[in-house]
Amino acid sequence: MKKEDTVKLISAEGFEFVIDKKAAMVSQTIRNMLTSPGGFAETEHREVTFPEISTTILEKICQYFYWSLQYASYMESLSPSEARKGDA
Amino acid sequence: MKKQKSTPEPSFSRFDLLSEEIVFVILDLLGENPADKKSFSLVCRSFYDIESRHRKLLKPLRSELLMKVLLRYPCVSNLDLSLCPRVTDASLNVVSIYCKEMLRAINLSRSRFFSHVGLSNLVMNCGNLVEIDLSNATELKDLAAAAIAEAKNLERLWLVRCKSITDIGIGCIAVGCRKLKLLSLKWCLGVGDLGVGLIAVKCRGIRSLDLSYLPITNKCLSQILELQNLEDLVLEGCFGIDDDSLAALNQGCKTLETLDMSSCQKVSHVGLSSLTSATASLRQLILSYGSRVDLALADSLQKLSMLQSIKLDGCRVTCSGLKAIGNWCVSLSEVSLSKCVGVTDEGLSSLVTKHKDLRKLDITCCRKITHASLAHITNSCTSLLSLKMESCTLILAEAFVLIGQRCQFLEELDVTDNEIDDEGLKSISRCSQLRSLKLGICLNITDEGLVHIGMCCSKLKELDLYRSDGIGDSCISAIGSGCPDLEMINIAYCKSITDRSLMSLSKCSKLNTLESRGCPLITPVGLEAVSMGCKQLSKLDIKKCHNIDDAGMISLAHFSQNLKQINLSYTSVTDVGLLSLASISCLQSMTILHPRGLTPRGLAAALLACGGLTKVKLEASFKSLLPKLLFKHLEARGCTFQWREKVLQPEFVGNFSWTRQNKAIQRTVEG
Repeated sequence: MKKEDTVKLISAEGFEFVIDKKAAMVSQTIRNMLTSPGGFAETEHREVTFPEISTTILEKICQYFYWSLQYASYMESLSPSEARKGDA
Repeated sequence: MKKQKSTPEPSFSRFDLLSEEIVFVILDLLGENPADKKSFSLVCRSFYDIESRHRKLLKPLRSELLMKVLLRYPCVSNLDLSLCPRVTDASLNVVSIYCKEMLRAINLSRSRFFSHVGLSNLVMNCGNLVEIDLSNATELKDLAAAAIAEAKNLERLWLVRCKSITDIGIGCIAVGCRKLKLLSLKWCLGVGDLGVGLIAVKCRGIRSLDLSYLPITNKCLSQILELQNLEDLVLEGCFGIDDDSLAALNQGCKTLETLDMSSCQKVSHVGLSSLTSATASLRQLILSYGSRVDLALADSLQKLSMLQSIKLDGCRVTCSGLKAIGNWCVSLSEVSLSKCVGVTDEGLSSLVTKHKDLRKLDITCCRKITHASLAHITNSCTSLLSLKMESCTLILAEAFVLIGQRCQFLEELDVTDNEIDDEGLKSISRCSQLRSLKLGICLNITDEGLVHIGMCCSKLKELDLYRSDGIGDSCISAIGSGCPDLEMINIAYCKSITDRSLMSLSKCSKLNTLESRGCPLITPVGLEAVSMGCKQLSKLDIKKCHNIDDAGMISLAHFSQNLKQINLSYTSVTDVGLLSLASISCLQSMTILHPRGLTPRGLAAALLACGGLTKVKLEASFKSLLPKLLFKHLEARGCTFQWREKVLQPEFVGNFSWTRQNKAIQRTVEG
């Protein structure tokens, strides 16, 4: 993974999770932090600290980001007839 | 004048002149409606006896009545128990006692409550068993496989998803069932090279082998290809097979006709080339969801001079690859490029112009192609029987008239989610052989176009108009009058449909599937007409038809004795209506989300009364409102429950909303 494509998320205990930028962008909050033009430190260093989120929770969040990407790409690949089959 | 009393003539019926064989032939023609055979057997005692001896295939709904049923039908050779919610060892014992040597085929693919003991008993007593379907028996272990191995005459065996069976069990089967011709081990994750190798060595007569998703490697592959009679091999998702293992093959299989290597991610054109050298008489090759289809891959197909059918669904395709396939393959009759990325006008046109005898073409979701391709297809492939082009959204409406003008032998046409309009439909009505027509999400069609289909396509069996809400009552009336063979129709979310349509559809006596979700104007009057006229009705979906209430259910209960599956979500049905459905003995599947008029007690009563239920979808809130013991009892009876979370805004959130302005499709899935 190239350095420019990654983001570092830091938990309350100081653990650092390096994940794909695309995965991190699943969260609107992180997306705003990283792309807003306000000249935030986060945008520059591509690091976001979460002093209130514990390590185990942040790990699960990162796993969710990757799952969400995979699910979105799967949904994209379905034809309209296949997509409506899941309708209860 | 006194009338002389005549002596009673000896009872002689003209039917006595008919031998049993002739009546059997007559009974063979009474295939469609189970009620017909019932009526026949009720005519007189001799007819009852004849029908009892005629019946060869039984598909009962309840296993409790098996004994009486088997006593009545002593000549049953094929027993399909896949509809019975519970098949226990006791049921299998009953089968083994009453069927004995007559039984040749048994289907236990959805029965979960039996064990290897019952299976062993069955196999011991029914020595002529030739076909066993044990798919989905996830609990069965090697002891069950050992029991099957005792069936010395076994020719066809399905063990799909039997993940607890290992190499040892398969080894027993290999040694015991020497006459095996067909074996399916799809998803038997416990089986590897050892088990499959034993099959290859011991069962030399194998014709058809399905090894999908097994962790096998090239060790058993070389043994498999040595089989002298192998015709059909499925290796879908075999991650253990890669280019190196295929390169190591030195044995060829001259009899192999169909090969399915879908989802074999590690096989590239190199491996495929080795494979095609070994299997030169292939007729059908499936490489869906595999590696890129480029010039190199197409070149490896050059050796397959007898190739008739190729499926490349979901692969990345290059233009040069498609062109090369068109060149190298001599006489393709079936091509599938469904959801292939990179299919362009240039490549596709080149392919179809070289194959004028094409019978089946699938270009679903080939979103880059335009009317130019359609022109080439219709120009060149005039004998086309099946054309699937869902979501080819760049094709202009005007181009669709070409289909009807030139491909008049079409039997199957799927133009879901396209720009086709009434002119196109009018042209398609020239295809008088049409059996299946899918026009879902076609927002430009109206009554005017569809009326022509109703008038001209009298052989139509299947019609899909999902969300094509430009259509209304007048065209459905035409369909109802003009298509007497109609079996399936989907008019979901066609908001202008009223009872008039349902009354016309009641003329289609063969109708077995009706989906009319989101049609707010239909009422119990229309539903009653359908249930009275369409006696074969087996699947009904009336979700979001707010005007359907208990009166509709009562008509169904009275007239629709073949109803197996129903979706009542968001209707106005209450406890009374639901309970009345209990009189339909074959009802197996119910979906009831957001039930406004249902109370927990009413639901409980209905669930208990419908004895044949195998699948129920309910809102998760009911799980806590009903006693746990009730669910335990129902599950022991063979019913499975699926729970859905409550959707917050039923009319808006989760519905497919299509924005056609920028031709983008935005979907949110219903929770």
